[in-house]
Amino acid sequence: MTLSVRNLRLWLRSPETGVPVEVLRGVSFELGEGGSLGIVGESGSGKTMSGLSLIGLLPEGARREGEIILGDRDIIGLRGDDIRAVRGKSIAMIFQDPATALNPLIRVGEQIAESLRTHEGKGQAEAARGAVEWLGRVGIDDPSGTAQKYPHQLSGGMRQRAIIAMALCCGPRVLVADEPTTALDVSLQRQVLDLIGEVRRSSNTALILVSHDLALVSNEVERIAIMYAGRVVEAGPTAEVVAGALHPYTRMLLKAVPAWKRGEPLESVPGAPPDFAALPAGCSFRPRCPLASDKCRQEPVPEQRGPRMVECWNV
Amino acid sequence: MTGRKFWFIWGGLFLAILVASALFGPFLSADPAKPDLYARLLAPSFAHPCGTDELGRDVLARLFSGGRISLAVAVSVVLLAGGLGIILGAVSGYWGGRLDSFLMRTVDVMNCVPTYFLILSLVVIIGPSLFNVVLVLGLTSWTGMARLVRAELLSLREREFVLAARAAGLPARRIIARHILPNLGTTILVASALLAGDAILIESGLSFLGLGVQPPVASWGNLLTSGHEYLQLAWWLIFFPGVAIFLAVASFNFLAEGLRDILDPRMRAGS
Repeated sequence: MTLSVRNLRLWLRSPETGVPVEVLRGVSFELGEGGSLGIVGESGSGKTMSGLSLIGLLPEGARREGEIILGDRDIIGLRGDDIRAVRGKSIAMIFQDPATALNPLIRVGEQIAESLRTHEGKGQAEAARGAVEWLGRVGIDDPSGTAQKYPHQLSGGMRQRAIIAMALCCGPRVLVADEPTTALDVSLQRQVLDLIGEVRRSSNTALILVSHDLALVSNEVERIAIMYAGRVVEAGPTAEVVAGALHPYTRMLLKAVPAWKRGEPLESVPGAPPDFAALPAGCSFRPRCPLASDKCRQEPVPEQRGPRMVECWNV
Repeated sequence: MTGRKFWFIWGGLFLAILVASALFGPFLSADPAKPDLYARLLAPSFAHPCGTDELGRDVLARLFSGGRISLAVAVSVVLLAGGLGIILGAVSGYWGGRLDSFLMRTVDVMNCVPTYFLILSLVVIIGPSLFNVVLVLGLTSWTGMARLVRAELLSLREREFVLAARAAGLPARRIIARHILPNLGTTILVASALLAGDAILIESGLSFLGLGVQPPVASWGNLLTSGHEYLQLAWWLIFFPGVAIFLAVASFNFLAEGLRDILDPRMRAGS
């Protein structure tokens, strides 16, 4: 099942002033059956909100516009039980911190089983067996013993495995992983990403990997979308974007990745992330861009170059 | 260490004695309704540990049967007002929006009217009886619980495991019942204990004013009413019911205090 997001716009109500602020300003991307896409950007670039928008999990007062087409239907207008049937069943999510994404008062097996009961219509016993089976599939040694444990009795890596099982148990067509390894030890990050890759490929589930870490993402996905101030500013096949970045922001992000090369100073992207309530006219990256010129005062137009897309006046 | 355990143990102990005496006391003592005109207004003695009243009825026996009433009122009010408060507070906090505004403004309006006068007027309108007292108390004292549950829910609903449960497509009633309310257990337990103490106090007050439990059925409140006429002759008629009310309310409050401290992980970390 393909997922195609077209011109997605999102307004959130500012907590201080109550004024709606546009935080996604026309996001578009395509994801083929079983494909993979990395969404990369700084904090506040709108990457997490892009993920949450897909299944309509938004704060009070939020408003969306655009198209989110899953298979052959637009799911942006779904409400109530209709969108609930999409969540977890067609599009599943993995959150950042395994320590807080599991309910401390419910046994791990039961937390997986309740998804199976909700979406697969399984009975108590069958769902419990399914949960144990899934804990085994994500590489937990003693699945039936672990199912009986509470989250605090598991290590961070085990918890993240349980969360992966929870997300994938109902066979979703798309998995959105929002910084799935940021809260884990570096030694565990690779393991967890490999596991996500392995399990999702066996069920042909597409992956959206949301992260601020360009280096990490580029190892995992076929395509990358770089987000800045609520827009995709560059997108394309991972190898091409990494080897020949077009947008100045992407180039700056690449220079900020440590490369174990002696003598070369590690650069940071100067300036602060943009304030959505007061974006500059024209290109929103203009205030931080080394190439900024007068032309950048006009809104940049997305330019298609073969399989790649870039939004900049200076390429 | 001693502080929080102290309150909990004494509160629990008083309450256990109270429950035991209400359950088993009536089987061990005299008939609380049987008058004995030859034994009127006897001071406490071995035969009548708390003395006898103006009709020669055993005060201890009447205290025991009054205790049943007080506990029944406490339990029913906690179930009714607590249940109502939890449901309305949870609905209000989880969905927010207009329903939340409506419910919370209702709470504001109810809190504007002095509770005791509200209860008094309602009881006068629908007539005094045990059932009506419970009904009126239940329908007027849910506001505190609703406020509390709503406030806790507002913060719990932002927690990542709730977001994860929503992202998994679980139905809202299941998220509230299984994922949110159990995390509110401590708060609800403590608030219920306080509610129980308040209910006993208000029921006693209503019965004292003749608007609660009607004689000849004994309640701690109406024992005080009949006793105060004989205050100068028989101090035991009001002393023992007064002590009973005091101990019951105090033990619920001690229990709540103790529970709060024992179940609060921050307090635990502090010692």
